[in-house]
Amino acid sequence: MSIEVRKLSKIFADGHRAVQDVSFELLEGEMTAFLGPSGGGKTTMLRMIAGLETPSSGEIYLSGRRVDYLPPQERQIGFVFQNYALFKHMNVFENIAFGLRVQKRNSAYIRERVSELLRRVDLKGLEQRLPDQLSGGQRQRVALARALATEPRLLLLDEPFAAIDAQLRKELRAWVRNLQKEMGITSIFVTHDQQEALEIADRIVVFKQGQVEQLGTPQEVYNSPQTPFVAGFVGEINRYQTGVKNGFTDLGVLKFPIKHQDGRNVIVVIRPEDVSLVPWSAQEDIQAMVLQTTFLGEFFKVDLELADLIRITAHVPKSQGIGLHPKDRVALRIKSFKTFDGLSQLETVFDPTRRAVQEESIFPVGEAV
Amino acid sequence: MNLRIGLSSFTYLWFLLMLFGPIGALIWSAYGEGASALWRELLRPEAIFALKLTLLITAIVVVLNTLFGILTALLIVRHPFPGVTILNTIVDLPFAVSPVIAGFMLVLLYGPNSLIGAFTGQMGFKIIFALPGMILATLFVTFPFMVRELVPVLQEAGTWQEQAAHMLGAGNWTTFWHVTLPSIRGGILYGIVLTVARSLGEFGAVLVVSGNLIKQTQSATLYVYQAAADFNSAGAYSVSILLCTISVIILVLMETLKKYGEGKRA
Repeated sequence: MSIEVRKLSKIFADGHRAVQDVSFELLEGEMTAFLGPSGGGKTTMLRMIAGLETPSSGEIYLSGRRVDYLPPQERQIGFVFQNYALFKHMNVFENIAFGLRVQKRNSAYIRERVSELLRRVDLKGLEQRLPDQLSGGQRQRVALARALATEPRLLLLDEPFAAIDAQLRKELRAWVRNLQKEMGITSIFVTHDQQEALEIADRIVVFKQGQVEQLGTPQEVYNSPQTPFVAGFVGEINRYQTGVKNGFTDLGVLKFPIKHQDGRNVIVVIRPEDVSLVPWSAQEDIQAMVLQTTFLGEFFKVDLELADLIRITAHVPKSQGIGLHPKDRVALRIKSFKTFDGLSQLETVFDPTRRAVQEESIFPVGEAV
Repeated sequence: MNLRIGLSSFTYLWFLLMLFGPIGALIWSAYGEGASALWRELLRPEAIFALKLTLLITAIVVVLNTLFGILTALLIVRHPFPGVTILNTIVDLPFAVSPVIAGFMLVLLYGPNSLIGAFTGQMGFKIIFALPGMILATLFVTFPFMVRELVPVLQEAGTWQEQAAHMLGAGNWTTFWHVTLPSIRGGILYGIVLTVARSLGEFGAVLVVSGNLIKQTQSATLYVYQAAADFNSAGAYSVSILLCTISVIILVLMETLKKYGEGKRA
């Protein structure tokens, strides 16, 4: 079911503006992530779509039908709560059957449907257990099965993996993603984990202070962030606040051509993986000294200091990082950067990837230092 | 170590003096009267009437107190309104006010010389010195039990399960019956047990509003009081022991319920 939200706002009784004038549209069959820091308004947004919070103003449409004045029980939406909210006094079977009993289905149908769902969520044999007798991952799957039992047209998940330990979280993520694809059910999940959003969402809505910062596919949000906030929240960045001087950024050696008028304030954003290290040479524009290297498994994180005490972080491949030590002198090439104006709007995207690759090929990576 | 032995022996002594002593004295004295005398006293029409009246009052009070207690607790926890903290404090008033004074307040409000009392008197319907007054007095003193028991239970349960029920299509009524009520079942049972125990034993408030008329408004505790005052010790012992026995049964029931509740949670 497609979802459209128009100029939706929520102001709580204490005056807190949780959501402000938000509009967006989501497509049928997709898995969308509401991503943002806590207090960003993403959970409030989800609860308004569900009907658990009443919007202060604005409209919500599901498949073109306006629903914001309907109580939650009339919206045909499945909801998985962060704490699962299983019925404590009912066993697994009864939890999953609850929605079907409300619909007054006959008992043969209920038995069949519940047993099908139990097979699907891999919990066969646990029908008689009470929620307190289940592990966190099992509870989450019961909550999911319960939400899916009545064949809702939309599935909402509030921080579904937050309470589960790291190893299991990865498995469950992939599993939920497969289940969603298999059933083709339109889904939205709330998360503050950018990795989770990038990994399993078709589309990401980035929230900040009650407003939508950006809506796009994981690639769009990562590669073309519309604001410095999005760039910093989805992935890591080096961020510099500076002015414009003679058509260049006024950042000492980090001198990039930009189109803006002199004297304006801009924010320059460079991702660590867009900083590559080459052997030191007097001809290179940007020379740097290694401050610290940190091994992060798949790559090394290298903190560097440039002239004028400007600092920058680079992510370099293992083979290169292993030969680097504090106080080593190297040179840098910036493969791409972005600049934003004072109002945080995207202004310049510099991505001379082709040139950078050609030049880099002169220095085999292994001998970079 | 010595301190611990000292403390525990003091505790035992205290229990002996305060609890077991009086119960023991009652049973011992009753034993002196002989079983047949006790049985005869218990079967006196006045005694039977008093016991029946107490049971009737208890039954009505339990039903009303349970209904209004659940309603009040839900209101306090789930639908806070302006002044809810004041209401929450007033709930405890019956704990603070002496039952005799509570009874006296009811007489002032509903007595034959009051506006309401005079009006209902004209309609041929007495409140004070009659059953309705005794029920009102017992309701007054037992009101906090259910509310005090349920407020923390409701607070701890939160509204998550209700929200989940709504998302699964359940309306308010279905949600209340199948989700809210079962999740506070233990608290309700405990509240009922406390209400029953208090209703059976209430004396002060009932004495003031009832007028203590034999075979009309004499409840079991009033009967014991009257029998003792009239030096009918066998009559006092027999009804006392019966009330005591019921109380002990209730106590045991309460402990069983508590274990049952915990077992469910584990």
